[in-house]
Amino acid sequence: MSSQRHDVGRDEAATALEAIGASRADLADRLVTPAWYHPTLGLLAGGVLVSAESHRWWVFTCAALVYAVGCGVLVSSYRKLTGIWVSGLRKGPAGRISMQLMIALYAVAGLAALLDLGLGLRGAFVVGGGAAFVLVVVLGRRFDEALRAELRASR
Amino acid sequence: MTVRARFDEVVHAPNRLQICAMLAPVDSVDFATARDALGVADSVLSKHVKVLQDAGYVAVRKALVGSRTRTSLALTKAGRRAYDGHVAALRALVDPVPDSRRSSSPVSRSAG
Repeated sequence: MSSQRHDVGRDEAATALEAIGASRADLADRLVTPAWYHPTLGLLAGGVLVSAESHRWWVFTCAALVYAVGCGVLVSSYRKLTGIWVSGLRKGPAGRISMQLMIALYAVAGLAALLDLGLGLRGAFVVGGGAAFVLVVVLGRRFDEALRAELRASR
Repeated sequence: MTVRARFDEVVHAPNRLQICAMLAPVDSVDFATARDALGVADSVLSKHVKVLQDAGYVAVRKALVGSRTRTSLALTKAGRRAYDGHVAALRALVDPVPDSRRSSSPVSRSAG
């Protein structure tokens, strides 16, 4: 069935392509991330870094657990609200922003660890947590914009 | 990866083409969202999803969320190939020689 020849004219093909474009635009319109999504994710990520300032392993472990559970709740809420799920690990401009965010977060965490644990500079993890929050909010919103633009531009 | 233009009868039906267009760029779409986007009844969407599922193009997942079952749809690898090939075939029909290749080689019209 899938390989049968179908007599399709230029007009029908053009109409089908227009319908595809309309579907993509509709999908992009539905992908509206709630205003609280990125700040909450930023607080969760930043919280893990700030918890390291205590130098107590159990505080860090608790923060990491809160982060993991919080991410699960966020993903579930996002899916419930939009009815759509898009992984950050994807090709294209949005995927690149997602990768930049991950690299930036690792760099911030690494630098904070070096300054605090290596050089004994107190407060490095707190500053790192603040930077992580800003990175998640700024790049998270850029990811959304890039994704919507990708959807509207793609076939 | 080069997409081979290939007309696909399963994908071409208007509602199924829209379902595939919606699923192709994302990981999954909930059944209710797809139904609302298409503006069709549950039964109509179910019928088209079944055809796509039988062709191996769409995977249907059910998950229990609280007391409700959430049904989500996702395009399979075969579905993605079929959809990409179908779109390429449609484009070849609309513009047999795209501007970008007008001065080099003609587009393959291996649809069907």
